[in-house]
Amino acid sequence: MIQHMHLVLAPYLPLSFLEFLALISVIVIVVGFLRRARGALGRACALGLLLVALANPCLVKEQREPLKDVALLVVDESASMQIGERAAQATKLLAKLTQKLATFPDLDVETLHVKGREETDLFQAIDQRLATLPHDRLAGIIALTDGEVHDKPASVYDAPFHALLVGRPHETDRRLIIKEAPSYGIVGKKVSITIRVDDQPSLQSSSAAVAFHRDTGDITTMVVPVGQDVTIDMPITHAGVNLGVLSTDVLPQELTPINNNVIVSVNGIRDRLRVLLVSSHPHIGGRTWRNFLKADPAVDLIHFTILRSPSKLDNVPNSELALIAFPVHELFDVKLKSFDLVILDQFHNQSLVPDEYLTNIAHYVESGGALLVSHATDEALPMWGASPLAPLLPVVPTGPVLTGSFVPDLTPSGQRHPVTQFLTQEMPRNQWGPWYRQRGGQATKGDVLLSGINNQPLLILDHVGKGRVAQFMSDEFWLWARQGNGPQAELLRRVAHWLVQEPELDENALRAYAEQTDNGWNLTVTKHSLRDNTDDVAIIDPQGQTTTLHLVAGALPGELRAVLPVTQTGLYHLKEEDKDILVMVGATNVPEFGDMRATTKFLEPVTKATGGGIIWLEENNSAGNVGLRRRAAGMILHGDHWVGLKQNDQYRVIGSKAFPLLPPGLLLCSLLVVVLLTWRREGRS
Amino acid sequence: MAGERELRPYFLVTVFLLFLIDFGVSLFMRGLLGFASRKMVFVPVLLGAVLGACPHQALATTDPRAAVDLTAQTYLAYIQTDTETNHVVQQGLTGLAHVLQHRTSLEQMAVVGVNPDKDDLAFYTLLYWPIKSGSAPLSAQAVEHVNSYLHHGGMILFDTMQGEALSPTLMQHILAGVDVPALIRVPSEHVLKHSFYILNEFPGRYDKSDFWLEPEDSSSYDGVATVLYGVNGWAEAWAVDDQGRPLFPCIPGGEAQRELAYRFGVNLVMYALTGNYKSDQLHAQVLLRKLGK
Repeated sequence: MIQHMHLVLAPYLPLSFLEFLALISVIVIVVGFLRRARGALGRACALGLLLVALANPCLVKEQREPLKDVALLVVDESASMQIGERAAQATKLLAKLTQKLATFPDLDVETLHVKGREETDLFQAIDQRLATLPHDRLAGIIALTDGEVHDKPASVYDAPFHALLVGRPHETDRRLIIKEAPSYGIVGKKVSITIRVDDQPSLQSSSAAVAFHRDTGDITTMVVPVGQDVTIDMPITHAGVNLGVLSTDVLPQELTPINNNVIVSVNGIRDRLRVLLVSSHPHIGGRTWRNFLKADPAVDLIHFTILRSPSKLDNVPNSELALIAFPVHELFDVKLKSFDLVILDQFHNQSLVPDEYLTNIAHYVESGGALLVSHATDEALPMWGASPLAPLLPVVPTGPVLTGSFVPDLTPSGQRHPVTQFLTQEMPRNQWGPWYRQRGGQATKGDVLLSGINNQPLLILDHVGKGRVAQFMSDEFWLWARQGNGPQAELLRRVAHWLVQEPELDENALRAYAEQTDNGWNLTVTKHSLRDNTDDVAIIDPQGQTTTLHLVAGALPGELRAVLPVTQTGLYHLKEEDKDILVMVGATNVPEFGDMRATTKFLEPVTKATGGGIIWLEENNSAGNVGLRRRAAGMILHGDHWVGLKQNDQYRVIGSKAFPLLPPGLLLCSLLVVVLLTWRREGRS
Repeated sequence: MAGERELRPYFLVTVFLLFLIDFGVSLFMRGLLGFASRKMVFVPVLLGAVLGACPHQALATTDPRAAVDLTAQTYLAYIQTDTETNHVVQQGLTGLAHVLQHRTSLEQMAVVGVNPDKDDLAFYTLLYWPIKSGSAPLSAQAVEHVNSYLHHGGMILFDTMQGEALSPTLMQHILAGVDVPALIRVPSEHVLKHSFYILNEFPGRYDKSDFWLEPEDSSSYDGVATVLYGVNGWAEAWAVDDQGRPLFPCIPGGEAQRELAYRFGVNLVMYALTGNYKSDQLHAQVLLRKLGK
């Protein structure tokens, strides 16, 4: 405890008012002197006395208690600290430092752990913590870090900022950077991506091998020059997210392989959906197809129907007819491959499309095209065996036309298939209106999603070669459209998008995504399946270790899912039967995974501004060699092997007593004397 | 609660001020004061309201057996009115159905008269509606059915069959409650004029040019009109007896006018079944050329 005495003013009035009174007094006195008024000196004395009395000077006796200073110990636990020995070095050092700091009796120690997955915002974390600490007691900040810090302090600290760097100076690292990549691309076209392989601190080899893994399973390899921008092509194969992972070979002495991989994600958008609609003859359902297809501005529709069959001739001259020959050869031969989707509406074997063109359609589907067949339900008898389309279709409609009122129903597959799964959400099934006619037939392949009369297949989807086929055994969706009592638009839309291979409607898809948690990432794996209720997926982590994840039924029918907590960042392979998908855990195109070498360049400005120092732990061999010293204000705060903590000498007052210097009695007497003398002097004139 | 109060500052200030005034008075001095003022600005706040409309629909029930038949072929349907008109229109549409089967790719056709009070209209591509000065207003039920038909892509041809239009007041009286869209005179390039035959006029038993329909930009069904309105008595021109002889003379053009009346009937049914197909075909060539690139 320390005794302390000092003089203070304890004015009776607000200081500004006192100053105002003093100012007026000065003015009045100056004027008085300028006019050479008698007694001005006396009045000045009296006013002065009164001002002193109002200011009330006191002598204060204080009892003081010294306060402890605070040292802030900051531990960088960001992702870049996880590579090599950095984390172990930091842990060891932290233990030693804590021990040493505890030996200073006049010091409190606060420890701050800073995490950072995508970047290290060290100073933001420090600023936040400092806001809760008394500024005038801060002795210093000591950071245990690799120096990969991506922000700056809001203001200069009142105490030294010291950095103890883990890692080694001049580490070697190769990294792969995406310099430029578009976020969108048109399906069927290629986008250009500019990449670059960089070696640091200097070129390690003139060229590097780069592998490009696509989500489609394709792998391309190439050799690129190091340190130069290289442009590569990425084909956009489907709508939605197109993923690719670029990786380059790892150098022998390399710091970390994490930044040798980089993920590229391009959103595929369809240019326009080109649809060829072939109706065998005008019928009431034709308008429903046209309304559905033409309502979508992204659809280019070419509709083809026969208004007058060749057998029907009247005597009307051609000039009075609005009928023009349709370019059949062009449509079904030359341009067929340009269509995304071919719809055969009210299709039957005595159709207007000759067999050779149907053969073209079959080839078109097998090589990746999309075909929707909606069968006619009038009485025309089919002879299917010979049709070139018969081998393509999952149901050969040999049966008769079945009639009777029925409401289309979801089969077990239909309840699981993304195309039909949500139809009852669109409109509850008890509100669906009835249909009355359908073709009979047995499904020999494919997935039956809707059933009709006597559980006969109504909607069947199938994969044919690289393409897809959908078959409607009835053409009566127009009833739903005309009565507004069925999810016809949603049904047709989903079937059409499934046919053109929209990935989100895939019935047999393996998907995975990573989500950050407090301790790492949760890798959520989902599989869509029409049949399985459980499944195992092999997960290969960035180190090549394989884990088997058991998927169980999820919330939706047909959805299997499981969550795997992981801590490793990088590229994961997921394998299940013939599927092999990639998922990147942790973002790679972020500062944290850029240049990961330990460095002084980000911290040096701060240490210089605050009088702190930077010490490479590697050069000090072990953490134990870093010295800690308490230094009085104004002294040098760091050396080659030690860092200093400023002494702030702050205290807390635990008791005080004040004695007024001008007692009222003394004041009154002296004032009276002065005033009487003044008046006497003024009265003489 | 009265607390202790230090009076010393008040006393000292009073003494100070009195002494100062005394000094001032003795020296004959004066002082000055000034003011400043501020203005306040008020910001008005505006509120808006949003209105919404609720669509509603009515469904008539259909006997499943009847429905099976109704979906088996293409029906030409008319709204039943009085017995005599029903007979004429039945004959007329039968005549048109023969022509369609004869000249177009349409195969199975039938004619049916419907009662909007109880029948489900959804099965019919087109409703032929004789509307005469003596027609009674629709029942609430019928209004609901007709509106549901129009709101789901149906098509109605109103025909006064008198060679002249009804007064708007009378139309409004008969069709009170029906959502008839605003109509315009048929544009010169309308698809109805080339949906099968090339036509300039749409004569029937009479040859008047009064013909209105819903404009392309207001229909939500690919621009296809839901309501058409004319005066030419087409059913009478199409009507034939069992021997295939016409029942009414066409005025003033005779048989040549009857041929045009049939051609209009063919165009009308094709328009109802294929919508803007024919006008699309004009763009198809351009689209096809684009496709290869």
